[in-house]
Amino acid sequence: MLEIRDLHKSYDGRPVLQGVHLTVERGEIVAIMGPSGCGKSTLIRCINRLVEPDAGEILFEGRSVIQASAEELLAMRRRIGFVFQHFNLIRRLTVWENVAFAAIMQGVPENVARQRALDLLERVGLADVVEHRPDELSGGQQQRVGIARALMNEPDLLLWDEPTASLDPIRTQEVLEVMERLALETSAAMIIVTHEIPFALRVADRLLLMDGGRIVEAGDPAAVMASPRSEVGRAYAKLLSQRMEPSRRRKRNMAVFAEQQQESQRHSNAGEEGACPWPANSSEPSLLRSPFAVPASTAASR
Amino acid sequence: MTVLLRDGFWRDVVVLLVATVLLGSAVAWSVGWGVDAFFGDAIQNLVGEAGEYDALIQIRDNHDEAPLEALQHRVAESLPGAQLQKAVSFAGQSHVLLRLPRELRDAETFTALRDMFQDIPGYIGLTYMVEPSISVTVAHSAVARELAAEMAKHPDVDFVFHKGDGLQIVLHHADAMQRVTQQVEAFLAEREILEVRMPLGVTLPHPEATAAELKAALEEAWGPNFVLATGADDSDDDVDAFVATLREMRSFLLSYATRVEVSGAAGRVGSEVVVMPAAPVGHEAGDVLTVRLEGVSDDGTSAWGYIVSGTYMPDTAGAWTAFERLPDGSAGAPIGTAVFTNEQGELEATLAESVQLLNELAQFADEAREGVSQAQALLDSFEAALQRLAGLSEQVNALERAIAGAGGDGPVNATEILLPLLLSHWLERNHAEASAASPLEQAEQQLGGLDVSSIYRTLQLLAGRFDELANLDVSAVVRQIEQVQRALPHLNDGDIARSIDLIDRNLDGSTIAGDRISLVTVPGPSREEAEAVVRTVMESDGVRVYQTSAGVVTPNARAALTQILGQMRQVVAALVAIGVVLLTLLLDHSALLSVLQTPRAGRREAIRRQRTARWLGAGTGALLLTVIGLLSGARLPYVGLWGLTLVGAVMGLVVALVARRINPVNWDEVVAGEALGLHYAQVMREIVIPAARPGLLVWLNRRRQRFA
Repeated sequence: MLEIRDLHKSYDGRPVLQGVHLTVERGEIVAIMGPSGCGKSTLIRCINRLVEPDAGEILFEGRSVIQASAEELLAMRRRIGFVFQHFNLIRRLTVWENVAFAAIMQGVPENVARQRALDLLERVGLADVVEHRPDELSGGQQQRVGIARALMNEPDLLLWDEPTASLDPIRTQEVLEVMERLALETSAAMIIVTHEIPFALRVADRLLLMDGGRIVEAGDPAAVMASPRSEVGRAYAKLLSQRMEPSRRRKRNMAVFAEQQQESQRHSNAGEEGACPWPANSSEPSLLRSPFAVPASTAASR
Repeated sequence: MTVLLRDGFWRDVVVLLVATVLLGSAVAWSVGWGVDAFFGDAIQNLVGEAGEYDALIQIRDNHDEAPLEALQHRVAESLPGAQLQKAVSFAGQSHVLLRLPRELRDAETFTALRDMFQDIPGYIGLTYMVEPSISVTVAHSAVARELAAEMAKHPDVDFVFHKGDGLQIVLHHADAMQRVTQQVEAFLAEREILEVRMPLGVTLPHPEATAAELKAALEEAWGPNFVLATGADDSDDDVDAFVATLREMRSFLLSYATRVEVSGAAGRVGSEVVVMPAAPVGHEAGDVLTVRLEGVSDDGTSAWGYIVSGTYMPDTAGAWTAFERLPDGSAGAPIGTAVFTNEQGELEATLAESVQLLNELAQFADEAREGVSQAQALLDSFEAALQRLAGLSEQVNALERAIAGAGGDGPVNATEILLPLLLSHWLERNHAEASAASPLEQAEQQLGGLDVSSIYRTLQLLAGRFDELANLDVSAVVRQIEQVQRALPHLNDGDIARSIDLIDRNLDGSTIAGDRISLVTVPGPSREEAEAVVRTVMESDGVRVYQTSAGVVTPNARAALTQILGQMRQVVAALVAIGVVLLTLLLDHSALLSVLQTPRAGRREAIRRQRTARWLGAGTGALLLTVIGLLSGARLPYVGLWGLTLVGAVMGLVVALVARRINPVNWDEVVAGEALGLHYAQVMREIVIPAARPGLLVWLNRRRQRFA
């Protein structure tokens, strides 16, 4: 559904993208990783022309994004959801207005748009803050509003520009959970720019590694991490292996933590509302899962 | 344009521009109109309605009704039916409005008004206010006469009268004002005044003949009928007085300069000689003086002058010699001797001596009075002695008689006989030696011949004079003389020479013109061309030629006030318009300019956007202010409508420069809107403008805003 050919972009003569080629199939989840400044964000912003590329071609559903007229571009953008690193919510609007904003502006009746926005907000766990302003929400909540907003038009393609980069670990986890569930529930293709290696390994169908404005490695995430060919790949693989081999202290901490979790779970089952920060259907913190352990449900859906 | 109007937001921007123009024009016009109305009323109170009064008379306001009463009396006497109305008083002047009855509104009456009130005490002047009329200042009497004759025949003109410096053309109707004014201006434009000024001191013996000569020469150069009229004028009284004062000043300065008498053939008046000590011994090198000759004797053997450089020291010893002055300023061949007289120094010395003398005079008076007193005492003693001498003389006579009669009538002792004998013998011997009269009698006769009482009276008179002298306020006289001493100009010879040079330059005609000839000509040749012809005719390079317009239509008092009022209205309207435009630029357009400049990526792109925003800001400001100026009549003094355009452009540029600080745009929100597939107009309407400062655009936008 998306094809990028020989894409180039430079700022003031400094090349940021140098001949990027990429194809994304319908429903495919592609994670892009790479060091800062390698062109990841520029690449996905070029896809809906938030950044104008200098050269190359981008085909969305077989039609050129670059050659598209203003109206065609707007139509394409409505089919491409975008989740920003800094949420980019409109501060003067409430949570539900932020989500329903684009649909209402495009002519969807307000009651219809509002109902759909409320549904989406419920899906991302924000049903109780729909009338709040963005400033009244935590970072994680704001990002979940951003995700709901991106989903409002039922896009064919979702672009994620480092959605957890501005969040603390707890809020990151909130967002990653939502993203994982979304990956299971939606048929939209996704291009996710992220630094979350475990997340990418769990969720992505394909992993692209970028460096110096080029895609230096691409393939099955596990395979790429298992036998990296590029320097960036090797760096990520080393980082991953360090996380995979916990120290004795970490093991002990994890055992204590697991015990406490089981205790808490028992209380929870006994009818007490615990303070677990994760959704009820999350049986354990994803940080404890193996990065290679793709959830059964995810595996089944693919 | 159609695209702009089709799109809601841009239609709002167009509406904003139009609304700003209309609002600004309306506010500017209204405020200007208010000013006009307010001050118009003030003027009406000051000088009445147009045409209500014919003249404004100014008299001194001394809190005294006498001038006004005299004025009323004169008006009742000379202008029956005329009305006086006292207007405002300020700055020590009262203004009285004069209204003439219809039958007196003619050229004769208005001409006579100028001199009618001259003898009224406190009268200052008169300003014509007759309306509708055109006031023309004319530079030449021939032009004034011709214009008056021309206008008198004009169907729109009621009458014409001469005033001080031109004509007042009174019309039948105000409607004809513009038409007649144009005709007068056309008449004046067809004429030009060529004024030929002689150097000062040059007197034209036959000015009419010279004028005719000039006319012929000029017409030879530029064709017949080039000179329409000629006239010769003496220099005016003011210039004469000024020149006389300068001459007196020159004479005064010269009298204080050190006068140098040079013997020998020194040269002509105005030439310079070098004077230096004959014997250089004892003199400094700086003793060399340059003397300009001011006068030469008839036979040319002596001259006198004043020092133009160098300093003469009065106490310099020895004689001085005069030499010819060579072009390089050095001394040439000797001419003769030089003698210095410093009137200023002598006067100072005389005054100093006078002061000293006066100070001694008081002491002298005291001493003289004492001398008179002593003389009076001596005279008193002398008189007593004289009386005793008379008594002694009596006794001697009695003794003589006694001696002559001794031995006759009675016994006498030896002493009585001896003493008279001795005395008789002494008297006889003296008598034989001197005269027949006895010595005592002779002494008595001699002393008694003195007129003691006369001497006494003389002494008393003298004493009275000395008393009067002593009573004189000598110290006051001394103070006055010292005052004169101080008042003496403390000028050295160099200062005096420079001042005389300055006066000479003026008197030579560099700045003061002498006689002049005025010619009315057809416009055409330049001043330089005309001057060349005139100088050829006059055979003098000192002649100067000036070209002036033949006259000018000047606004009358009311028209001048109305003109000032109109300008004030325009300026006030312009200030209001500037305020409105600045406000809308700051509140409304700054948001648009801000979003235009918000950087996306890349420095070049940012610079390009900033430039675009600045041009747009300048253009918007210029457009708004120009259109408002056109609609409201707002104008800035001296620069007019284009000045407003420039001010608008500058304001727009400045607002563009500070737009991002005035109306910062949250770029994340804008990008989110774009990513959501919103039109640019929707982004502006729903994201940018609602977050902007409240203004007309925000208000207009709110009506169409979906999420208000």
